[in-house]
Amino acid sequence: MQRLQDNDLGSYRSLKLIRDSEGVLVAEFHSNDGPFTFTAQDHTEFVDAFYRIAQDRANKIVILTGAGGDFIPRDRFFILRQRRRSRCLGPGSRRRCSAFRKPSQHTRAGHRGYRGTRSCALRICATCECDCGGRGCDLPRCPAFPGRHCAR
Amino acid sequence: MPGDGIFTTWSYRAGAGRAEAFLPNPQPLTARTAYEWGVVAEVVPNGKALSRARELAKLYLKAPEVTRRNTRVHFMQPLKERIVREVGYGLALEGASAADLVKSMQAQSEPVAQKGKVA
Repeated sequence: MQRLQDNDLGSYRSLKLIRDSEGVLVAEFHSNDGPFTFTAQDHTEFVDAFYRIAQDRANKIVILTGAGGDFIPRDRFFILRQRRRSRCLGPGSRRRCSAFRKPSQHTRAGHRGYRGTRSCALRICATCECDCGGRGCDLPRCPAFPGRHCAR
Repeated sequence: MPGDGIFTTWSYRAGAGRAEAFLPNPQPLTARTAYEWGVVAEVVPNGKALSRARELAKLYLKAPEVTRRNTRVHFMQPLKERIVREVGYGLALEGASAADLVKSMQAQSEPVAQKGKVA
């Protein structure tokens, strides 16, 4: 059973994790310690964060909260604008989209391989005939990609 | 846009009829309404939510660990089943809707761009 180390509790940009001696973990969403603005990078990081929180039996109870008395008051996703610029969503288009251009982000590890700010549009790419540039990547391993397989 | 996990969750928590009426035209909900719909179990004054959560945590910690864990499993299982059943297809619907939205945005912006070229 993997356990969150104390220094891991501070490793997420927008999620402050504080666990007391009884195992009550307070997970506070924030942006620079102020009210939280949900971005694509946060979307990626939280998948990892809550996966690890759930794995750790030292977390007896988890309380979700947000800085400034709000939970998730705003979001800022540029998915549609980015895709329009890259023309990934053009009618009938079938081209590599910018979300997959960095080879270092393509691994055989499935979902966790797509990290970084450009991974935000995965689920939209699933329906726009977008080629994935990753060698051997297997999109059905991501829950948001029903039945789509890309291998280059 | 339909229909990622938030559609499923609202349907599950508030009821399918309310979700069907509410989600196409979402408006801010008061805490009182969320309480009346059964989306939340308790409403506390502003600034008191975290301290109340800690009180509840202390109460729950009195139960044995396996009891706590399995109680949570009991309540989460139906929601997880719905998430697994609905979200894959829902995201396909959402993606197609997003593509359509982008096309409509392009259609709105292109006449302006063409007009600029002519000028």
